[in-house]
Amino acid sequence: MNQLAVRSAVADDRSAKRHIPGEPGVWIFLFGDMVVFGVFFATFMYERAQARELFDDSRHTLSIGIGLTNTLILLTSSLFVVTAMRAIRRSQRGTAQLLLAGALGCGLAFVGFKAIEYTAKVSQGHVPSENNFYLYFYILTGLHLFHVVIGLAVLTLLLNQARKAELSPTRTAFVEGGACFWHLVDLLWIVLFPLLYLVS
Amino acid sequence: MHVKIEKASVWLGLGMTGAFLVMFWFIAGVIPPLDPNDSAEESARIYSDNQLRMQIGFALMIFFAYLYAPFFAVLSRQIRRIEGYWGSMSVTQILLSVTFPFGFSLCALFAAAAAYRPERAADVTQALNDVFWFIFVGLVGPLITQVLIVALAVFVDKREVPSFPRWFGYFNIWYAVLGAPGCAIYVFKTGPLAWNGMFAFWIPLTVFVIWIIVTGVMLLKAIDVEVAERERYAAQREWEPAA
Repeated sequence: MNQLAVRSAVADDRSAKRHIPGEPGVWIFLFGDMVVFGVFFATFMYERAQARELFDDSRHTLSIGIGLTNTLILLTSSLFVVTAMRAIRRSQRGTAQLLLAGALGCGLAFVGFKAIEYTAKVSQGHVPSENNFYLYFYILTGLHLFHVVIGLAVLTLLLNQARKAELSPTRTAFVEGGACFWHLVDLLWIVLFPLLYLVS
Repeated sequence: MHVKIEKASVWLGLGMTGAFLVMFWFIAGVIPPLDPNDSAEESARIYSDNQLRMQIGFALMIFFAYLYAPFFAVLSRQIRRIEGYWGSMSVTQILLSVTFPFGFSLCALFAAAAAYRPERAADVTQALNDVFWFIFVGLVGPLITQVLIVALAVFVDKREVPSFPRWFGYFNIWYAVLGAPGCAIYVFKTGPLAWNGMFAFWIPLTVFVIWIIVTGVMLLKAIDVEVAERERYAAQREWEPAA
């Protein structure tokens, strides 16, 4: 075999290993969503620059404890999803179902904590009409919560697929795409949490 | 099959989107939107100061909005082709397609009524103005449902040569997620979810224009797929070649 052939063989091997999860189309949705959330974040930063003191004072009235707990919960759920995907690829159906149920539980816990946080804030008089910070707080976390709820539906779908003994390539790609969506939900929160709770 | 008529229907939808922007943006001047925080007098003054251009812009929209219908006829027909029969996806698509031109026409009717009598009490004009925005920006449910049906249809299309690529399904979900916040305008007077806000107006408007262009191109391609399929079946004499 001459050198060129070896090189191309190596290249083939590499490209086979470099696997993009999900079908290519799902990335149109994922990147599109990220771009628009980028615009949301930029709008928030712009409004923040208009009234720095107000935003900073309001930020201190948020409960960092709940925010941090929710961050850890989502990170844990992402870990569950990653390990569940590995289990699905190794055809360990039982493990995959258990791990996905764990991720689903984390997602529900996130929603629960969010509800507690909203209730607490509203009872303290922090409503969307109070000031621009709280307006954006409720809208941005609300839009994210909307994504979490879609994500819970997606995780339920994945749990359903994990029951099947064998997945066709299309279905595997679909399951991977769903897992990527859950990671997106996690990623958006990872940006949102410091933006709302921490940046001074 | 009248390929040219099918394709012209798609182009009509794209052309109407350009015309919509001209009518609302440059003639009537309601894009960028009015401020929901304006007092009744301020809103009424905008309507009386710009009476003629608004009346012309809205009159054009009330008349021409129905040219959107053929675009949605092609869309519904392509969903029907995926189903293979008149199933609930294609029938729902037709039912909701009816609301689309009416949404444009009806909102313009309220705004035309607001501009019609500049001498009347300002709060009446303000109320009509509110209804205009409530329909124009807030009535997103029908189109979002249609778009989700398109996504579902793309995903369940198991034919050898599908009408649409699978990424188009994900693209439609993207549009559904970003177009949906418009429904929140009924609750907000300021901020990004008010009818002149970034999340409720500008982003949904932008993604709507992107959606109709991409969908137009995809429909043109789906018509080509249909033509090829009809020719193949005609050769096998399994399909009665229509026209």
